[in-house]
Amino acid sequence: MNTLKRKVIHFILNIMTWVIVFIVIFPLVWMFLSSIKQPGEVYAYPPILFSRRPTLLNYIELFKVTNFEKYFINSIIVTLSTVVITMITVIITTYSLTRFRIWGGNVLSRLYVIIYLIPHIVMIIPIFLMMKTFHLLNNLFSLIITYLIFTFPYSYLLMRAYIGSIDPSIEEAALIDGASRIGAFVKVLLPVAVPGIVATSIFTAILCWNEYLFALVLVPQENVKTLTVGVAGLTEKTGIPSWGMLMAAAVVVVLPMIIFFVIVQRKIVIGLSAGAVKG
Amino acid sequence: MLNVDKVGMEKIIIKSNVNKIDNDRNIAKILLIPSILIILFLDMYPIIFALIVSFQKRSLFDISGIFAGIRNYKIVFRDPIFPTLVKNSIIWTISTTILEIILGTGVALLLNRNFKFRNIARGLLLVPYVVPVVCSTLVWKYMFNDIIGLINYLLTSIHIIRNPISFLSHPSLAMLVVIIINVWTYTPFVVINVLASLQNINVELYEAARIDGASPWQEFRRITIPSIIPILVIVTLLRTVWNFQKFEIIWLTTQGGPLNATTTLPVWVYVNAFLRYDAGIASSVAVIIFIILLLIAMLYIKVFETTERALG
Repeated sequence: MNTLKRKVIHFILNIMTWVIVFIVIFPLVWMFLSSIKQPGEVYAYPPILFSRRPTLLNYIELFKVTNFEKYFINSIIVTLSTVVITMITVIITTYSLTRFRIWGGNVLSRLYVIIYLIPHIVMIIPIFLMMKTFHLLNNLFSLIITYLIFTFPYSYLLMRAYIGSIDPSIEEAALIDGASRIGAFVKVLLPVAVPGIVATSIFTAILCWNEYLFALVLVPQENVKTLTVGVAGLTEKTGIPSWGMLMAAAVVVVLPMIIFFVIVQRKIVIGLSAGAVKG
Repeated sequence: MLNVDKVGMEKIIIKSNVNKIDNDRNIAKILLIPSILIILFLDMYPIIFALIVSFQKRSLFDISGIFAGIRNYKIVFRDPIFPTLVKNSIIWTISTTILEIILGTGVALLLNRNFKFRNIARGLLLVPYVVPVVCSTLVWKYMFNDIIGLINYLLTSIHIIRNPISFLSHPSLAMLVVIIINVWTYTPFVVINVLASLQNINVELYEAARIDGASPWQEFRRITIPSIIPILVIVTLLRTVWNFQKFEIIWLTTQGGPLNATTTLPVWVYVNAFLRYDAGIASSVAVIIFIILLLIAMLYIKVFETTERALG
């Protein structure tokens, strides 16, 4: 009797779980299904779930009519550069702060975590004015520099956990064997930290790729726009938006993120929960 | 054991070469230079700069500002829209945070059971967190569309409403839409944290409770809830702080409209700075936001310390 009751409850909870999964994932499915519809089908009412004749027309139109390619390249430039600069800075910072006891080290470490909470909306005006002074507006370099504001503390939080969990005795063994500090760091520690570095890079790339506010303000010119701002601007430019094309644009922007997500799936707990860890 | 070895090794290194250690310390300090530069020029300086500009009469394109005392703050506080901004910000922050915490905890509890394809379910439920806000707002706007929207179709076909509603041109419904998009995007953050905390609970606690004849409800109330309270407090703090400052979702969906019904304080910063080009007034709103966030953070840290003490 009791086991039967348990089974029934379990069954109901399972159904609830999958219903929630369906609701949560549906907007993305809808986005994709709409992107491969014929122009007429996108505007059909009652709405059609599956296209009768799936087409790539929306995608072709997207690349033909808009500067989508340009936005895409800009986003890749910004994301890659930011990730590389962030990772180099974060790795040496983490190495210094986890392997040496220096005066004020703990305070710095905490500070590096806390700055992740600084609201972007507070930074946007001073950063704009600074970039204007340096004549860096409408220059992708200004975005790359600015993104360090949030990528640095975020990656530091992740890398501190990774490098902190690697036993220092392996480097110490190398030191005793006569390796220099730098040698031990580059040849012994870095290879062990590679999985952590890859995961952190991906999480950092997701942040950069998705960023909208700084990109909107710092690089509004057509030829330097990034994807997020470019896609948001499509509605303004084409007048009456073609929903099929907009959904195609959304799919192209979201796809790299989904791929990244699948790659880091196993490490997702540490990546997404960053920030909730006590500083 | 291990610690003794480590200390022993450190002693060997120290004995072997004192100069090397000094040298190493210097390396450590040099390695910190880039990060210190980031803190100084990309964090400290902008914050101080924002504070200074908030006391200046300054357009976005002025090279320098004129000191104007508390003029900007006066203008902001006396603006008849100010109470609306505060009200919208409160509604937005509190409802998104509460919904995210409740739904996130519920989903985490569902995912904490054993069932087939659990990892797939977990993966799918976390996906929204990596979807760029630009994409999610687009697809939600399409679904909430008044003429061809799927949601209007569903609501009319199950007779909840008679005629399609224009969600985004109705003040309180527009707020509802942006809240839904926010909750959809950020609930995974709560799920993942609560789930991690649930999986850290010692199984022996449940076994002991079962031997003592505890009911599932008692187990839930006496073991599960107390174990996840610390993470819930932290996550609530973070979600409050982030939701309060969130700009993109609202801007991309409603641009603060209709009739300022979704204009929150962060949206007001953007409008003043980049549509009206008044850096002074916009900065004073930004500083107000910053101070409110500091107060929220301090309040939560206090609450957190009290709950931690209460839980022993």
